[in-house]
Amino acid sequence: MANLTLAELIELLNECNDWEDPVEPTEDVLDEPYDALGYDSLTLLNAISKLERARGIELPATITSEAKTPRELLAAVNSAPAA
Amino acid sequence: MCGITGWYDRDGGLERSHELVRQMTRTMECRGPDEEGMWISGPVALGHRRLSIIDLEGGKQPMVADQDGDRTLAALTFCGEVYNYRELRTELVAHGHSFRTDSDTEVVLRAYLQWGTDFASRLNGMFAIGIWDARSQELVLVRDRMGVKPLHYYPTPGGVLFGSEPKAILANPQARRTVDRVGLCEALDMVKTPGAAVFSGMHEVIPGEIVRVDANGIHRSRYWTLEAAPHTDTREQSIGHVRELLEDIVARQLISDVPVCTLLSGGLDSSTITALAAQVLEREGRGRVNSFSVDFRGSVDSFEPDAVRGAPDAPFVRDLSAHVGTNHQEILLDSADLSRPEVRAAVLRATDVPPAFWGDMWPSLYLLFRAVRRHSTVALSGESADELFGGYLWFHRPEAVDADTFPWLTSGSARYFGGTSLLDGGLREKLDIPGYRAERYAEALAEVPSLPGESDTDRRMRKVTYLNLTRFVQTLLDRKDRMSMAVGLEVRVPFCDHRLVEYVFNTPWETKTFDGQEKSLLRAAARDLLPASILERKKTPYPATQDPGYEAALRAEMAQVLADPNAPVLPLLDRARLGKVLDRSLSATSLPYSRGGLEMALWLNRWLSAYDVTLDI
Repeated sequence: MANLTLAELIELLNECNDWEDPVEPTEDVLDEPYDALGYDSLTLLNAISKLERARGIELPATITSEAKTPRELLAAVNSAPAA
Repeated sequence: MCGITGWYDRDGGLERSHELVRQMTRTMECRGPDEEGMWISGPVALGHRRLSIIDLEGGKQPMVADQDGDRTLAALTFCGEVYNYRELRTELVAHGHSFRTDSDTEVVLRAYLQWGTDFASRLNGMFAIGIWDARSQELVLVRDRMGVKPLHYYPTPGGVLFGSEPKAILANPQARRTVDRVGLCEALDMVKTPGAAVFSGMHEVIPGEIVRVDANGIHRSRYWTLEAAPHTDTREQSIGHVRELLEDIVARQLISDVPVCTLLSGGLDSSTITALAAQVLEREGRGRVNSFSVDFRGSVDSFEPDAVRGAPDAPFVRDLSAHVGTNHQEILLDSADLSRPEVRAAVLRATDVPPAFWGDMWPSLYLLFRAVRRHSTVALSGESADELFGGYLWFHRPEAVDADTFPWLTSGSARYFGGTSLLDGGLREKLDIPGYRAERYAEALAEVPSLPGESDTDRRMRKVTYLNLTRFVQTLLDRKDRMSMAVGLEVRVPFCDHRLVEYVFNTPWETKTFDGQEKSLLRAAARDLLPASILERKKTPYPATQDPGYEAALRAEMAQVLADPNAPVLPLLDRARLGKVLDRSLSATSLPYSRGGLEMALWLNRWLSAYDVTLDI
């Protein structure tokens, strides 16, 4: 499966956070922590659950403490072994 | 199972208030549809409504013990079940007590006469008890260790009013229907402070507490708390002991003179209970176990997984039912059922406070129990296993474990359980829920016991488990109690047995997580009983509807509220934000945490109207 892009990740997070104004997927947000972007843990976990299903991967329960920014999550998703 | 109430006034003369005592007692009719009893003598009045479960003829209440047929020793009003009443009875007979009935009620009364307030620590079960001790002229209130059965009280100038539920107390005009900032914070935020009731001046007897009331005032003491103790058993021994305890608990909790069933979700907890129950019933020649599950019409086809619920229950329920051989019934609900005005009114009438945190799980549980009640009077249910064995996500996410708040109230889960998103900014500022939550959290932390020399992991996980077992689980036990008692169904909760709670609370975290999945210890203890699909299933909570039709019904009710200029909730709401929510198009899947603000606004409106509540904030 092709690598997940920043634009795809932010679109997914926005979709899971749709009562707030959407975040623009520019390079500036790559290293911003999720709470600064307005995403809480429920949004993050919902996005991760969708990614796991769509890509057939499994991420550890500790993922949200290990990957605190979009860059870190992209790296984790794109290197995750198949479930 | 029953509803209890009572009144102590040191000035006496309560015989003159017979009609008022009857009104207080009658509020408990839903909890006890079968019989009504009152006992009034000078400074004390006791009321009782009964749902007959054991010794249908002999267990009438209030029950009075007298000496030589004339001098009253004590009178009892009791709600609950004592699962070791047969052993206690044998012990009491050896102490010279004679019994007139086969009921557990008489055992409770005699146990009090024999051991005084120490009797509480000998009871295994779920209970709320009011005893008038005529010898010492004091009223004694006792609640079970885990808070399975509710017990509220309200100090008055002359003594106290008490009742299973607030409504019994509110039926007495001495109790005011005022709610202040603290009360509203308790109603809205999932802190669940032990002892706190929402109405000003009202308290709950804390789980494991004894409250004595006499002419000098109110005296509180604990007969049980969750304590840290060394755990020396190996992993294998721990698995074996948990299994042994569960077998004993389920066998005890199946004792009943009326039909018994289990509630089954296809998760590890309810499947374990159901499988163990099937074994006991088969051994005793009582036939197959009857099991019940709840689902929403069409949900299996349209189910949309999210971070909380990965798969619908139904296929797992079928697997377990086939594996164990249960007589299974699925109760199917739809959004019209959940949003029907009479159902919403019944839910509120049962809770007396706005039903928070659980959204549609309130009406769906009510409807499930109503359907189960047509077949059974007693049901076994899996509450508390997730708190005890570490099933929830917040046991496994480092940010939740180490958060400077309750592990279920980090930002995301606070939104999941939240209902304050549509409240007016000024009101939120006055309530200062974050400040209130921080105070309650600091108090809770100070209570957490520790064991000298335990590892950092065990210390942190002991904290999380303690908070779950003393706070979070109470929200589930309350929902379970109110929704079941509202239809006269007794729900028993095997995982709340204090022996199991004490043992597993002290089991090291490594032993609870060794198989790489949540609740390893319970899974290992039940491994031979369950099919592979259930052993491997990820923890999934009680189902919530995803039907946008349900959200549409909430919006329609809100439109009616908005059209009524006198609707009491309107001044409490952020109208601009509400407008935005109502204008949004409905998505194909409605998630419970997207509806929480709307649910709470509607419940607040119903509550403020129906209960004539004065807000003092």
